[in-house]
Amino acid sequence: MTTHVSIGSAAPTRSGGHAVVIDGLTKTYPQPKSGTFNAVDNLSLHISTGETYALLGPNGAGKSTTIEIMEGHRKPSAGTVSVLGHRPYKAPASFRARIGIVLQEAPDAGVFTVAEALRDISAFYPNPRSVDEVIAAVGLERKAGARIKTLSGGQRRRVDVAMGMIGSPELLFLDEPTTGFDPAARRQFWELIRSLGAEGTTVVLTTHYLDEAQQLSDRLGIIASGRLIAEGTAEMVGGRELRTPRVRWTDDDGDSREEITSSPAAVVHRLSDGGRREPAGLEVVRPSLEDVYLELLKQHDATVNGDES
Amino acid sequence: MSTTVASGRETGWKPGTLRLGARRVITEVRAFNRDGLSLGLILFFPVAMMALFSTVFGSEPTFGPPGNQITPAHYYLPGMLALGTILSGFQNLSGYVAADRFNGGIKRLAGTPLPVISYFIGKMGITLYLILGQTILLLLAAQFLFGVDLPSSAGAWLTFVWLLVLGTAAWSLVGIAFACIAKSAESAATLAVLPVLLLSFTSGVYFPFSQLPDWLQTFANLTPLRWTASGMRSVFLPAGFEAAEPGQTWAVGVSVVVILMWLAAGLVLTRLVFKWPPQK
Repeated sequence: MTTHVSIGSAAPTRSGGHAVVIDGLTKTYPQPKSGTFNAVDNLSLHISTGETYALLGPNGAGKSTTIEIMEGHRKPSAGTVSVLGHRPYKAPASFRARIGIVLQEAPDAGVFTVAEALRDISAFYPNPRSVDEVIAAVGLERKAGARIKTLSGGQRRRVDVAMGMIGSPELLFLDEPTTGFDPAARRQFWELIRSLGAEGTTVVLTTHYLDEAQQLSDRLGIIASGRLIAEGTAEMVGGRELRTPRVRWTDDDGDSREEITSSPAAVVHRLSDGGRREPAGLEVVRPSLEDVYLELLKQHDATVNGDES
Repeated sequence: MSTTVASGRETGWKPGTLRLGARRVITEVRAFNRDGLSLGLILFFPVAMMALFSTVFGSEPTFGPPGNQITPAHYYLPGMLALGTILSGFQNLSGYVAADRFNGGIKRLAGTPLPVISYFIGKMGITLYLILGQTILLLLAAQFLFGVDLPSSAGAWLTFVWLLVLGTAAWSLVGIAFACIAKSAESAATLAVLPVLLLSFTSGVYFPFSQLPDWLQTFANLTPLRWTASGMRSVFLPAGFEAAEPGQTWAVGVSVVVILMWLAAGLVLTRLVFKWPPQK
């Protein structure tokens, strides 16, 4: 294994290593009434160097807690967390020089212009990107001299992203980066993240948008009740069974029918008497990532409720 | 399983705490100057108070023992200077730190290589900027608008400088600790007014300390503002005015002790409650 010495850019350390290794992570919070609550519950995941990894899950599932533990913002209650070879909580400044963080929402620095705020933050890093380049990368050239508080929500979010990438991090964390973006801005943002990924930056993001996870991630993990309930590529996650095509049609009595089958063509052939008649409302649907995601959550809820009753 | 190899850029690199602290000072002061209204209100507040007293009580020398009387403006100058230490150190600073806590500022900075000491240097810088601004404006106004005779001995000015610096430092640490236990930025801003109001009335800032009932004097004797104010009076009031103080003496030595105790207590409190990173 060779040691890459890279200065001035986020060149990949493609040594087949892991940027993030989490084993048995648990984060426990005391509850106001009594007892404790596990926001993250025995969670394990590995993220390879150079990979773009998306964390999905409903509100309160533990996505933000998990990402904040990776960032070093929160202390794990149990388990091991290694990020770029460091335990992130209270890690040295040299660790934080190698990561970039885009917080969920931070309305600070509003009195500064975009360029001023980025210059201030770039001074903290040993090998920052150029302020002008970063401003161009997030598409705010025309707003470089505008005070941050005068920007729209989506523009401010791009400033947040710019602040996260100004230190040319090897590993970039993005917590719900495109919330509040219009569709065009979201697509521009995806291009930006793709270009960072292409340069070798490891990207870890949380999102509520399944199309975003599908577009950006090499792999994604679905978190519910603080546990990783599924993991894989957007095309494979959840396994083959959940992805079995469905044939839907309306029968002669006017009822909606659905058949789950791995040979939809045969079913259509049978329904149509070999093509001699047209069943009403006929469609063949392959479950989307959203279908799979919702089904996984439904199954998870059923298990959890089954455990409790 | 292989682990990530630390890249060469990490070895030995450390951020420059003092250099980044100096940068933070510039950032903090520049942010503050952008808000023209609060800049003006904060810097000119003590001057405005002194002008108010001068208007109410007149500009004739009517304060003090017969034969040794001074103008109301002169009489109120030390109190206003002492008031500046709690305004800049406690009220303003606690507001800024609480804002940083709740608007994500601390969270963002704690995720960068910026050392926490550099953050504090920035806060010290903005506090010094405010207290020096207030003080210089007040002294200039006293000298040139209200005709107050300022002391000429180096010893008096030395006492003045350490009182100002230590008093402000003690209040700053207490203010940061206060900002860290507040539940929201708004409640911090609202609650911070209370000690300032209360203590300015119990510390001989607005009227003579000796006029307070004994029990209130006993309480006030535990607070640093009372001792900063009496110390400032020892610097700016003419000889003979100590007759109006408890024990007919300035007791500047006690000022040092009480202020240093608050400084130490504030340091311990801040160490305990200030979180960097902000969550657990």
